[in-house]
Amino acid sequence: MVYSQDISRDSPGAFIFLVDQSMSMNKPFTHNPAGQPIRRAAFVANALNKTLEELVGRCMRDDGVRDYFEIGIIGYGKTGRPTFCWEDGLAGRRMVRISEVAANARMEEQEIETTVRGEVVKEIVTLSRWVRPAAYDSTPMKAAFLMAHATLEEWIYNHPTSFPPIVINITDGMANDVDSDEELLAAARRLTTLKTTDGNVLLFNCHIEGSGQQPVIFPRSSVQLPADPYAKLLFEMSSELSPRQRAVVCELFDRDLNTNPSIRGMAYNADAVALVKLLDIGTRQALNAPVEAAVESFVSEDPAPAVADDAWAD
Amino acid sequence: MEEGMTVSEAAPPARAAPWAIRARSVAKPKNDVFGSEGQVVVRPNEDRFRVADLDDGVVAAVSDGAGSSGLYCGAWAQTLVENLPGTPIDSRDVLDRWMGGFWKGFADDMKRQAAATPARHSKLVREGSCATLTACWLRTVDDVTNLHWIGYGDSPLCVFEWHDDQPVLTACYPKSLTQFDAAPYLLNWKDLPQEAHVHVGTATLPPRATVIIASDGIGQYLLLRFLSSLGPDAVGDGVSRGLQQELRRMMQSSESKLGETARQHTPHSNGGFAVDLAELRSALDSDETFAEMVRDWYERGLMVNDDATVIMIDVDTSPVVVEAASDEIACEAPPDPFAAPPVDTSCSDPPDEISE
Repeated sequence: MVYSQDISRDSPGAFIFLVDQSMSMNKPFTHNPAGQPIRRAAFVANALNKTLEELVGRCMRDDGVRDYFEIGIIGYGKTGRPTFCWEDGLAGRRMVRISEVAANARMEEQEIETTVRGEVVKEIVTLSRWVRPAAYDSTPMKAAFLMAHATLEEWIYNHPTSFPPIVINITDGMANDVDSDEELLAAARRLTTLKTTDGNVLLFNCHIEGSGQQPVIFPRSSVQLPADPYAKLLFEMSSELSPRQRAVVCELFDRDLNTNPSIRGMAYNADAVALVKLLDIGTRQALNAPVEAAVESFVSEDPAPAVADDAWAD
Repeated sequence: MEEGMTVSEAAPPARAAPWAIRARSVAKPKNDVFGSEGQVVVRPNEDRFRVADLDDGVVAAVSDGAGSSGLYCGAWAQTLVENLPGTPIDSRDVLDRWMGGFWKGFADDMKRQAAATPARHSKLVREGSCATLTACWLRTVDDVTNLHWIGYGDSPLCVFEWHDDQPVLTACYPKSLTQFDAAPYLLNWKDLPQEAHVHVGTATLPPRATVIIASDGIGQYLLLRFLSSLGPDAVGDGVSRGLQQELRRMMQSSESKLGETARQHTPHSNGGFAVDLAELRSALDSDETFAEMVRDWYERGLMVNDDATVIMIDVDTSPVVVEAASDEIACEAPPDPFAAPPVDTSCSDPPDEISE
């Protein structure tokens, strides 16, 4: 049975996040509760930081952070070619063990509201941050796929029996380093041809929009998508979910497992909620993370839009 | 003997307690050893148990700290069993009031402990500390033993009555095997207990019964042993029937870990589940023999890799047993299943006293 390998320190998992840093990521995406606009880049950085914090949290025990995962973040668009965008103590690194990720976070104190035995109380907590918003230049998505391929080829060589790596690509536009859709599709398929003994690399694609158009998330068929060739291309590029991920999607979205025999790991025209859901489901694997209400808590407690656009320095 | 009184109605001679209690806890067989801040750390066992004498009975509990949910779950499990009341917790409101007496002290202590590591403190504040709790209170009055129990989470409690020297399952919590495959509901100092997940029960035990409370991994093992001892075609009765049907479905089609483990179980060729219980009783003699047995079960694929805790309470209020020592007819009866090792209240620490 594929996609069944438990994730452990002896058999860690891997995530690579591909983050579009093109100029268009400067466009407004959503609003915070005060009505201030939040740009795409700021929202994505915040959501990614929360995802990393969640992954660190899943690996944290009383006596330290267990190395269940290795993480890479590739930004594309800040310069003409993609780069791993770790900063500070992790600058220049590629795949990083989660204990090192945890040890190299920037800490920001924040007052949060949390429910304790039925009463809402305020607590000061520290938020861990690694990624800053960036929106500069073009969209070399194919090059990002190639960089992920080279990185994971080496990672799989070292971890041949692990749960297959998961790649999550967040973008707001079309690649501009290819001459045709087929060229981008071929790069994506090359990436998902990589495999461990437990299955092929899983590629999730999340197209963010924020224009108010109806998002499509985790489609079972391309006919559910708008009549846009780019939507179809993203569908073709995206992996079918593992059985466990499919079960989680069906539970969270109240879908029937029997009538959803195949679900693609993608979102199109994703709004803030859809992006967070995709990140949550894409990273929820094998560590027995409870299914119930995880997405709701992720979205509702300390919601991402609470961070104002100008809180981020590019 | 008073005139007209039969032998079986004779008052039994005084005895220390009408039950023998054995209990042990051991970290999972394939345990984690990892580096943290330059030190080699062995993952601690996060199960806790407690057996304590009451004025006229005993209270026993297992709490399984859920290390993957929240922080300081082993310490929380310890706090739960340490604070057990002498009277049964028999409703959600009683459970809530009871937790209300100690949760804040625990939370404040742990926040202070975590303060030096901001990310740890944040996780504790956001997620709390989680553990199961299954507890029972036993009281014997006039040779009748009453059992009250509460369960929150997936630490099982089983009651076996002895008929013709074979154990018969007459009560089981949880009621369904599938609950072992689902994420358990946990008691968290941060949350109010939920009515739907508070399970309580009472039973009047027959003269000879065995009550087992366990953490989920070894509890699953014991249930699977019992069900497989009934044979593949057994219909079962009462409590066993539903579990037997579930097991059959699981063995035929389930790709779950429990289904996979269930397929490894075959019954003893003779002696049935009584043999399994006798082996467990014997293994509970020492930490070493218990750990060895758990490791053996794990290596044979019969038990999942998990911390393992068992409290085994053999209740015997039967005056027949006492009379049998000098009764020629009784000497021909099958050996007493509780006979060896001798009556013991062995747990890691001697039973302590709870005043009501």
